[in-house]
Amino acid sequence: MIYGALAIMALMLVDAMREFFPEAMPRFKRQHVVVRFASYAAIVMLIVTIGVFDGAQFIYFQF
Amino acid sequence: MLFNSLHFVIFLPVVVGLFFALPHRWRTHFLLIASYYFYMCWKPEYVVLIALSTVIDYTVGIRMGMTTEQAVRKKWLTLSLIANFGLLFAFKYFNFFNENVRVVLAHFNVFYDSPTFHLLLPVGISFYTFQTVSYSIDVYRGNQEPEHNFRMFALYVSFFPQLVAGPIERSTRLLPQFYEKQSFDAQRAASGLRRILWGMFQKVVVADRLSIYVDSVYNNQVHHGGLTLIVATLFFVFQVYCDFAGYTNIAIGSARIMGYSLMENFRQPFFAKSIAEFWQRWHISLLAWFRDYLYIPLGGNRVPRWRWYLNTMIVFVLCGLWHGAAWTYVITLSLHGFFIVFGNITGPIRKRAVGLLGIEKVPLLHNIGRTSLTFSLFAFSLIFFALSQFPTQFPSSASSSLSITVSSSASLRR
Repeated sequence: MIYGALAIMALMLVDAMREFFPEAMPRFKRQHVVVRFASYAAIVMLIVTIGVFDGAQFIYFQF
Repeated sequence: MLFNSLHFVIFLPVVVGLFFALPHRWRTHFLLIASYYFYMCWKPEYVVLIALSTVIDYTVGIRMGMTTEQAVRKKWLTLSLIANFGLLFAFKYFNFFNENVRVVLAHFNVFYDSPTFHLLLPVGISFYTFQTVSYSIDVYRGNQEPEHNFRMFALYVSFFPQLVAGPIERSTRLLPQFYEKQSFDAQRAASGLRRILWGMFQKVVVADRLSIYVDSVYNNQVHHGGLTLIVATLFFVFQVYCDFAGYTNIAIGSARIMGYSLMENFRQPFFAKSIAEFWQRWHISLLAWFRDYLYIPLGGNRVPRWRWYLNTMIVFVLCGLWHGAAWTYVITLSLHGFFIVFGNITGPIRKRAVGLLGIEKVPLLHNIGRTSLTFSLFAFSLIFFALSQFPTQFPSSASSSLSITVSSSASLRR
């Protein structure tokens, strides 16, 4: 439940950045390669460590 | 084949590698084979339905292009609509329709032993049906030239990134892209990979993580109290969003690596300030389809007000049916239609109330209020959507009448 709540917060933070600071993403792309790759690595780590790999179907497949 | 599977993790780099290794003239051949393979990994025999739909609409397009006589073109369009929606009805709605007829007749003491088809719903049938139908309508309207290259048309119908869950692309956007010579672009590939990464995060970290909690609560509804159910409902809202938006991001990213641009399907929906705005941010390609091929032909909003309300409700009821053969989907989407109509009717009163209370002097507060209300209304409507996903344990007769479904949707999820 805690992981879920944290994941929602991360998601809403990104969505809020896109909504209110649309220039943030292009600025991120201009960051030093180390910063960018550290961010990507962090997301990969999150996916690997707290991601759920139980072969769950996508809900919209049933439509 | 699932996007969040090892199979896809191997499939995509192999497809991308071979795609760029092949000469341009062979690439669409290869993509078509890859797309059919992608679909056949699920249930090979159902690929016949896609092929049938492809042949029908390809033929219809060519035939419509051969004549300028409107009556003849209309006949071909009618054939396309009957064939496509007929297949959709047979595989998706037949049992639902039959069951409802049986229930209605039983009220009049007429007992109808309805036949039941034990068919598995073909994955993505609603998506590719709408895509092929849009092509036929566009050709009929003269917005799209009939496609003479069968391979290109078949690829338009079956392009693997968006085949099973959209975005529902238009032929005017996607078909020309298949003719363009794509060369590998490292920046574009990096952008595509970023989208895939974010889509994977949404699916496996947010949606599937939340589903553990949501499933445990909704599968034991009677053992949980109000607060737990509210938290589970809120989690379910984010689960549905991340599940679908995650899929869309992986689809857009996969296509982008190969140089193809798919339309955006989500635009921060939870920041919408009204349900009408919400539907400009959520499943954009579906609402755009309904807008262009149903809402505007019905007159849109250029009709008397009562008729505009009716048009809105028609669109949302049918949108609910598109989601699934169950009343729960119809109720969910009808509620959205109702919220839009109600919002329009009460608009002047609410505006006056906001003025009297002086809320508009604090725009931030006003916007937060509107966004929160929109989110709450969406979350509330999703309770009915959840009824389709989980076997109901409510002892009331209401739940049984709501859960007339073709098959257990919950079993499809796993």
